[in-house]
Amino acid sequence: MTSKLPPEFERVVLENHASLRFFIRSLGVLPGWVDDIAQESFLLLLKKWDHLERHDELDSWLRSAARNLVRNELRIRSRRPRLLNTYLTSLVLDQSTLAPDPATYTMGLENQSILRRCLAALTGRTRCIVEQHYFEDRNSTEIAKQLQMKASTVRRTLLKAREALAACISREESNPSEA
Amino acid sequence: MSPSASDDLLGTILDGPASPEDEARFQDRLGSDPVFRAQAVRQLRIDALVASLKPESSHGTFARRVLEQAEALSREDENSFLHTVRHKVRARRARRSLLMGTAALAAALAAAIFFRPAALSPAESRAPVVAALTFFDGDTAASPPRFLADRETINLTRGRAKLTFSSGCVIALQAPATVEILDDMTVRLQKGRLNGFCPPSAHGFRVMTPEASLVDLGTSFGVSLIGGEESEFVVFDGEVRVENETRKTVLRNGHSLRLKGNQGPTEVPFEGAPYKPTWLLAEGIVATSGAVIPVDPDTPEGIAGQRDDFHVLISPENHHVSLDRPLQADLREPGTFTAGPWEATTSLPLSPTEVSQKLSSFLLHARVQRVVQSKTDHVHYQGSVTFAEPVVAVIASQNFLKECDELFATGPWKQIKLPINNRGLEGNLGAPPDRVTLSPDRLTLTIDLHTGYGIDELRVLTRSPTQLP
Repeated sequence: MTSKLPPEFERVVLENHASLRFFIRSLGVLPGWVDDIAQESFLLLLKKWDHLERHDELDSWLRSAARNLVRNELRIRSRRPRLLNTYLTSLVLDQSTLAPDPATYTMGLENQSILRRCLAALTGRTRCIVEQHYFEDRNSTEIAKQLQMKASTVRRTLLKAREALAACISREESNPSEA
Repeated sequence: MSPSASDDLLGTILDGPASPEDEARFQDRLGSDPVFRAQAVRQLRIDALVASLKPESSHGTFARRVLEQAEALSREDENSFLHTVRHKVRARRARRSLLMGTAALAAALAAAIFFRPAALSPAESRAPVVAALTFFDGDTAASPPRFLADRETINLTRGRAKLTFSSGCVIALQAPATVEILDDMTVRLQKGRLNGFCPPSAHGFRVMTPEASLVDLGTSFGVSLIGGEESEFVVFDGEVRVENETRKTVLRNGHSLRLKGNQGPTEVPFEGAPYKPTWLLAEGIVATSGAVIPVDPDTPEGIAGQRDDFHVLISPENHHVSLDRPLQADLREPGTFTAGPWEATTSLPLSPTEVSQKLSSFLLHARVQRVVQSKTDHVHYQGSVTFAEPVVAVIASQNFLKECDELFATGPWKQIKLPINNRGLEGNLGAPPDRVTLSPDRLTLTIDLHTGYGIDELRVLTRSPTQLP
C-alpha cells in the first residue's frame, strides 16, 4: 500500500528526532516522558505540513512545538510530575539565554566524540556510575545498593561528573587541537 | 547554605528522589542565587547530552514508531486527528503507569505495546521499509534499489552490494558474503566482510558475528569473518563497542580487534587495505577511472597524510553535514566548469534554505612531486569518479574552497607543506584551463587538470544517503 505521508516526512523524522529529544530533555522533562513529547511534536508537524510555507527549517519548528507542549505540561497541574522541577523548566523556557542553543545541538549530536573523550577521561568508578545511570537506566538508589555506597554519594558523584564533563567539553571546544 | 549542601540539593532534584521540602528549598535557591541557577541549567544540559549518547536508546525504533503512528493518523479522518493523537498518547501513558508497578514483566509488556500495530486494521497495515538494497557489478552503474520490509538473508555471490537502512546506517558488502538483516538496527554477518558507516541517527547499530557483536557508537567500521572461526573488527573513524558474553571492549579509530571462539579479544595491527572495496562503497565512492584513484582506507588523520605523485587522489570527508551558512560553488548542474582567473569572480550560490538535505563531502587532490621547471610546466591529469549519491555542487575555486573547509574538511591542512593559497583550479599558462564535467545523471564527475606549481584541489558535495520511501 502506498504511504500517505509526505515524501519528505520520514527524512525529517530521521534527521531530527535525536536532536529534538536532546532539546526536550534539556528543558527539564523527566527521561520517561521525553519520547512522548517528541512524538507529539512530530505528529503536530504532520498535521501542519500542508500549511507550512517552507520545509527547510523544520528543526526550529519542531523545537517551538516541543517548547509549547512543555509549557502545557506546566499549565496542567496533573502533568507536573513529568518535569524535574516546574520552576527550573519555567526558567529555561522563559529566559532565552538559558535555553539550549543550536550550537549545543551540533556539539551534542554531530561531535559526540568530544563528549566520549571527556567521558573516557573520568575516573573508573565515576565513569561506572555515569554509565549505569545513563546507559542502564539505574537510579541512584539502585547504583548505591550494587556498589555498596550511600545514595547521596552516588548523586554527588553524578553531579561532580557532569561538572567535570562540562569543563572538559568547554576546554576541548576552545582548544580542539589538543583533542 | 554550604557548597556541599547546595550540591546535595541539586543532586537530589536531578537524580532523585526529592521531597516536597527539597522542591521548595530548590525553588528558593533558584530564585535567589544566580550562580546556583547557572549551575542547575548547566547540569541539565550535560544530563541531556550524556543521555543522547545512550547506544541502546533505539533511535531507529523511535523513528519507526513515530512513522507508523504518523502513517496511521494520515489515513484517518482529518477532523479526528488531534483527538486521536491525544487519546493514543493518554492510553499509552496509562499503560506505562500500570507497567511501572510490575517490574518483572515490564520489558515483555512494553515490547508488546511497542510493537503492536496501534489501531490499524490488517488492510491498513504497512510493513515499514527496513533497508534499500543496491547491487554493483564491477564498475557499472548500480541496479535499481530493492526495498526490504522484513527479515531477509542476502547471499552475495558476485560484485558488491550496498544496504541503506531506514536508521541511516549504510552497510557495504563484497562477494562472497552472506548477511542476515534482522531489523533496521541489526544485521548478522554469516560470511565474508562488510563495512559500515552510521550517522548519529543510527548510533547503536549492531553487527553480530558468531564470536561477538559490534555496537556502533558513531563511526566508520569494518567487520570480517576469517576462516569461519574468527571475527575481526576494525574502526576507521569514531568508535565502536565490541562485546561477547563475558566482555565489552570500546574500540577507537585506528585500532583492530580479533576474537576466536570463546577466547578473549586480541588487538591486532590496524590494516585497512583489505576493506578498500567495501569501505569506498560505504563512504559513497562507486568507481574511479584514469588518473583518479581513491585513497586507502584509514583514519581521517591517516588519509590526510596520504600522497600520490602520479594520480589525483579522492578522499571522503565529512558526511551528514547540514549547510549552516551560504557558500559559493562553481558547478551546480550537469555540464562543464572551466576554470578562469586565479580567484573566481562569479559564483553559483549555495544557500541553506535551498539545500536542506544533509551533504557528504569528497576532496580531489592533485600535486606534482618532481621539480617544476617553469610556469608552463604541467602534468596533465584526466580521469573520473562515480559517486553513489547525486552530486549537489562542485567547489573548485580556491577562494570558495577556503570558505567551506571548516564545514567539510577532516584533514589537518597544516600537514600540506605546499603553499596553501595555491589550491583551487585555475587557468594555466601554456595549457588549456582546468575543466570539470558533471554527467547528466549527476553521478559521475570527469576532470581534466594541468597541475604545475602547488596543488590542485576541488571539493564535491553529494547528497547523504538518508532517504528511503
